[in-house]
Amino acid sequence: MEALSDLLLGLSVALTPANLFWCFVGVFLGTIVGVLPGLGSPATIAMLLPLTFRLDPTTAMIMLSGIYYGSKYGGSTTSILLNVPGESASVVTCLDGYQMARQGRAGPALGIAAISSFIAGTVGVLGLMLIAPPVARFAVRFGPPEYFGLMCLGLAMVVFLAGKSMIKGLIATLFGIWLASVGTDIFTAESRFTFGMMELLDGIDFIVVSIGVFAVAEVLVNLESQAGAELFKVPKGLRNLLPSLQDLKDSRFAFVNGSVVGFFIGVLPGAGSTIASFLSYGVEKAFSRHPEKFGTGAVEGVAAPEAANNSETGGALVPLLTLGIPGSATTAMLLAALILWGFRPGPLLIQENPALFWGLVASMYVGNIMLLILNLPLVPLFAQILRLPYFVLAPAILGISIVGVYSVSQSLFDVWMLGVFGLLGFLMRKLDFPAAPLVLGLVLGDRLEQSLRQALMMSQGHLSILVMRPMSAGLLLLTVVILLMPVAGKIRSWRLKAAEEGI
Amino acid sequence: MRVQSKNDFVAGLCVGGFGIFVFYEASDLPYLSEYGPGPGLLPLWLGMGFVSLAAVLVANTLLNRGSLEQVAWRKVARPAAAWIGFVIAIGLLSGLGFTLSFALLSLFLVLVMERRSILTAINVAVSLTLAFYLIFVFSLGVPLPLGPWGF
Repeated sequence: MEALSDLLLGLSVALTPANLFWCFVGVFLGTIVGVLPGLGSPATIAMLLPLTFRLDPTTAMIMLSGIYYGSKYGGSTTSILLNVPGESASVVTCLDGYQMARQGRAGPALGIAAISSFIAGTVGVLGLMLIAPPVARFAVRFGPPEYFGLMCLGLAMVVFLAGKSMIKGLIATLFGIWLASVGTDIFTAESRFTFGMMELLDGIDFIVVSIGVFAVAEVLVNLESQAGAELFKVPKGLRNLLPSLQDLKDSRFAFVNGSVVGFFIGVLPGAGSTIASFLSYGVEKAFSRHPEKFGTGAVEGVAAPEAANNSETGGALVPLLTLGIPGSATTAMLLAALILWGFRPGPLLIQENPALFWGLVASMYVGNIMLLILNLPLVPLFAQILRLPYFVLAPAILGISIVGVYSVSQSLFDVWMLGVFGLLGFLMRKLDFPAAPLVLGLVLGDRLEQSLRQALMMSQGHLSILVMRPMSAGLLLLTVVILLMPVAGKIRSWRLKAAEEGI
Repeated sequence: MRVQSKNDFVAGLCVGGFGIFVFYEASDLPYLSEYGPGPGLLPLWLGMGFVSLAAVLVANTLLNRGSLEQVAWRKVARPAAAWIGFVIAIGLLSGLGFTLSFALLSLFLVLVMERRSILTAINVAVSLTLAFYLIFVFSLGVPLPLGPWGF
């Protein structure tokens, strides 16, 4: 009852004309930022922060948060249409989303991404509203050993991403972890694998690798076929451009799975939407009746990671608002904004500033509805992009790739690296090495190493710390179970074969 | 023993070689530091991981369990040419700026790779370059490499 009255207070704040207008501006800008690869929400919030000083702090916070969760909606568009992941969390969406686009189902893929984003975004806000303080207290009990367990669990998702060969999937994951180790070691300031190149001291940005191995490699693979080959089918009629009832039915578990996984991963500072999207994809495939369809254009393969990606925003605001702990670059920018306006994010924020907290929560409900209304009509429009002949699309994809990579740090070296990773991605495709585990290893590798080394420092070098704490032991046990799943599957198929031969 | 999949065999050898390189480089880094585990800890184990997995991949091909699909390397000429064109366009970015380099890349892809008429190629190159300039530079203010002519 109390939550309802608080929500009514929030709605009275969020539904004022000024707040509605700035909420729309935020989600609209967020959608644009999300659609264009490389232009991340942290940079956009940083650029717009000085402009918000003239606004009421609650209004400004509503707008900036709108950019944050709006960018998650837009992130799937280029992944589905062009195989260009704009952010690391969108890499998983490429796997089935792009395959759906190639089969003439770009519209349903974009539609299901918008719908799952709406459902999960709303679930994330509900979680923020109802269970924020206890969940935040649980999250701070996560120490380095638990994070190490979580990162191992995330990396175990390679089982579901490996494709035909588990060995090749594991090699790709190790290569991703190795790429993450390139640069300056943050504990000792020692440079690793930089080969004397100053540009490598900061490490290799995931956007360079993911755009290279997905987008550039895809263009190269497509150019293998003779000139003028038809690559995409785009059906006519509005009905074929939106998800069918069957698509929604097939995705119903993915909506729930993505929402729950995304929210709880979001609550953990530093875990991020990438691990949320990979985990939800793994869970979805593990429990699916037809796991073999994943990676070939399964609608659930789009719904689950997109849901997780969006629900994660609600979760990420929990430690930010209730403990003052930012879990990502974007929430760090939001924390800076709150401090600049004189707020003290922490356990007393909700009591001391109810209008800010509940106004923000209510605005997120409103913003999610705005995003659905904004994005669904755009689906048929975006799907038309695939009507362009491939001789127009190919240079456009390469151009977007260059702009996306260059805009991150204005480094021509990064663009050269894009060329290198494009070639690597092409060779990996030809030799049947999956690209998604490489990006998985790259994104989680840094955190894996940091948490392992911090845990070993805590225990003065004893590995037992990883299994003595119940939560980390549980996560590691789950990791082992997942990694052994293919072995169990092989044994079962051998036994079946042996039984058949016996007959 | 006959190698079933030459590609997997060669890929395994390359990965093994890379693993030895990672192991060798990592052995120069301290395995332990005064704070605890050193910067060499993870790379050293990664190197061993690469070598072990490469050994399994090679063994699989020798035991005829590798992928039987062979890569049609002859078909790789077209993507190789496109990649070279892409890399040349990247090289031109610092001298000519994004606008001209991208226009030349588009021209190359449409005219040479897709074998369209010169008119179509110019049309696509000019339209795409203009669209990119309007969206990224003019509307969004994305800083892109500039040429000597200021665009």
